[in-house]
Amino acid sequence: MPGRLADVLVIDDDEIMRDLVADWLEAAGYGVRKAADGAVALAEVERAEPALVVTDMCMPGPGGGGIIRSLQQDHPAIAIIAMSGYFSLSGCSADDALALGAARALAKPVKRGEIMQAVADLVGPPGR
Amino acid sequence: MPAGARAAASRITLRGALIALGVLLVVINVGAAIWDARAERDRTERRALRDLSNLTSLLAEQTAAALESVDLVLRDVARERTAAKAAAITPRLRDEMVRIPQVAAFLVVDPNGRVAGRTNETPNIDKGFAERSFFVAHRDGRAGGLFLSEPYQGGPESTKWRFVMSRRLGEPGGAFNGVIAAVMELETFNRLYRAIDLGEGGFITLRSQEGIIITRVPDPMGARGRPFANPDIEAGISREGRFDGWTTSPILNERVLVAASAVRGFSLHILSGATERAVFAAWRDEASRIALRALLTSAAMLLLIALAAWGLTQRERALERERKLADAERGRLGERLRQAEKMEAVGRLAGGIAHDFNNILGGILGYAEMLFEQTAEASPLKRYARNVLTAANRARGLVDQILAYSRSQRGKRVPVDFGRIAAETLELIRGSLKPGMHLEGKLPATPVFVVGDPTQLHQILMNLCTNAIQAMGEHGTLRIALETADSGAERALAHGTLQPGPYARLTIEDDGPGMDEATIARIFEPFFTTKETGKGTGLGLSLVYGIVTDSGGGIDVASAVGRGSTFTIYLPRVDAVVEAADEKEGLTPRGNGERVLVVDDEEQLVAVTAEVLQRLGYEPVGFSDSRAALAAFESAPERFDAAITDEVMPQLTGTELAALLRRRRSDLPIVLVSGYLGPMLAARAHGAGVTRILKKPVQSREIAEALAHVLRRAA
Repeated sequence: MPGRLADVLVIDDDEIMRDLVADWLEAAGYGVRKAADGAVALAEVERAEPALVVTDMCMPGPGGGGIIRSLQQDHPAIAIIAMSGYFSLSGCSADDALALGAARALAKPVKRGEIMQAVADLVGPPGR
Repeated sequence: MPAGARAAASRITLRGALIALGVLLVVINVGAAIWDARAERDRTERRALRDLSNLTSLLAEQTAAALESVDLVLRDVARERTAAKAAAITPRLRDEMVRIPQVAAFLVVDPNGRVAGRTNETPNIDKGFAERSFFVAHRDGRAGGLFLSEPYQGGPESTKWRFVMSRRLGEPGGAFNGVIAAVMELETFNRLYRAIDLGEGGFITLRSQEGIIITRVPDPMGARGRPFANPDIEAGISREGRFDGWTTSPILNERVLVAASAVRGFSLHILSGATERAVFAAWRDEASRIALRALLTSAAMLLLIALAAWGLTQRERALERERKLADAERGRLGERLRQAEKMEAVGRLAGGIAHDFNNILGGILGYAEMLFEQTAEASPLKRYARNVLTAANRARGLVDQILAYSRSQRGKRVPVDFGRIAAETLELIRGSLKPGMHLEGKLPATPVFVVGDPTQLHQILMNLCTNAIQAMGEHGTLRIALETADSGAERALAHGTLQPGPYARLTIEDDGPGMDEATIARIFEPFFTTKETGKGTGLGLSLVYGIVTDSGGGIDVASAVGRGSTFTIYLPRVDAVVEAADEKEGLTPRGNGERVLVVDDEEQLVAVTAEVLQRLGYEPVGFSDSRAALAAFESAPERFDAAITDEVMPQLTGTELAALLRRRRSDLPIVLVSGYLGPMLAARAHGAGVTRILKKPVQSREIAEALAHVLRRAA
């Protein structure tokens, strides 16, 4: 959406969480797109490259890890924030996300302040 | 319990066999003794009878010879035919008497019974002989040839026992011309019989065919001259010429063993014998000896068997006691293991639920927050939204506790001065004590380092102290002590097993109401609480348990109703200086191109671990199939510097793989990753050559530190 602030793609298979994060970002004025799984998300990225991807780690299909790998390879410019309830090396933990190259990893359940801060750090504060 | 029944059966059989054997031995022993005694009795009887029989034969010969020599003289005289002629040779007869001492006198009696000639001038013989039995017998023709009279007492003083042997004078079948008689001195026979030692109860008897006793040695009953018929003997002799065996003596009126024989050529019987008592006197002594011997040996055998049975029983009791102790110990260990597994399972379940629930709460909180922000202050919706937020926040508090329990291993692992943390906690608690309560703290002056998360260590102290304070109610004394303790050998505690090594021991003691056994057994279970609904989550002690056991420590609980409770926590103590220095640098240890074999049946985990290792400077080689990993390793064992493997995998488990790897390379450091850590896995892993065990889920820093550690040690 031209003319708006930075474009953010929110990926989560849990509809409520996806909507919540999207609503927070929209309320702050960011342009937000949503995807329910990795395949849809990557299609969205191909359609128009967002400035930032906020993705859940544990999802069916390629999952957060797969998304991060693809983006690191094909779209290294996109900043990535990962969300995970797990911290250990289980394949979809916050540690994994950081190991794969995510810029930030947030513990689920994500707090509003934390995510707004992280987004502002990576793509600039809202309203600019 | 079939095993028990079988054991009981075998026990009964063993003891029964022993007793049966004992009884059998005694029976054999007694039987042998009886057999011996009977055989000896038979032998004694046979020997006695043989001796008597020989003696009787000898005496019969001797007696016959003595009588025959007299009869020869009588026959000689009888050939003179008349008393007058016979009287004429009396002087010659006197010479004959020197040869035959058994003859007291020869007499020649005329047909009228008067003495026609004699060898001795004895006054009382002058009497007429017309009435004497031998004269009458010859005169009346009743005596065949030789006549033997009954014994009588005669001689000068009528004290000597004598009898008469006589023959008729006259033509054969013609007129009666008188009698030639020999007066026989019985004492000469008695002297011979007495010379034979028959022993006590033995006797020799000479009697007429009709049973009149001629003489008897000894003769205490005065049987001479009296008739004592014995049908046994008479029948035996008339049938076979002799009688050998048992009979009842008519003289003694008791059983006697007798050998009797006819005296050849005379109508006399001679017999020798002995009373039953005398025959068996020697045997009775022998039998008593045999009986005594049997008695003593039987008693000894019974004593021996009794001792053996007693020893057996003692040993069985001891074995039984040992078995019961072992069973109880096994039961306790099993119970503890089940308890640990249950707690882990419940924790995992609770963690999983809490995790999802937390996300849901995230949605509720997020939207409640937005609703709250965008609602006008005056609207009742503002209050509604605030209440949703409050309730959701409370729910999150609870969920956080559950997560803290299930993720208790998520804490940091750094050397911490447990003493300092205890001191801080004590200060906090002191401030919140009710007026009736006392706090006695005993903390060490020097730091006591343990590896762990300061927050979690604080949590242990807070949870235990809070429980103690709540248990005491309004007043009481809380004692907290921290000290060092070294365990020399493996030690089983109420919860967990202590490996030998240095420990920090924290003791928290209250004098509250205490706990019963059933409560103690459950206090560490998640969601178990004795507090009122809403006052406790039942997670405090579970958290303590999780933290302590994850750090390789253990917990002991001592409590009884009315006696207060004492919780003792053991945490491994470390030499802080070295590790603290490492920590200060704050660097994750890195590798130097070492080749590491990574094995896990979850492909994703292999990939992630490999990436982590690569970033740490290692060269990972990943496999999701343990057998493929083994094959790759075996093709070039020297190319690998270390291995990281999951424990639970199909086909080859981690420990099995470790053992096979170590067989090729005994120096290869191996890190095992497992979802469950227990003494059994630890033992198995140790046996397989595993260098280090990490508990799942594993953090990248833990892997880095573990690898650096094992490689440094290997190098």
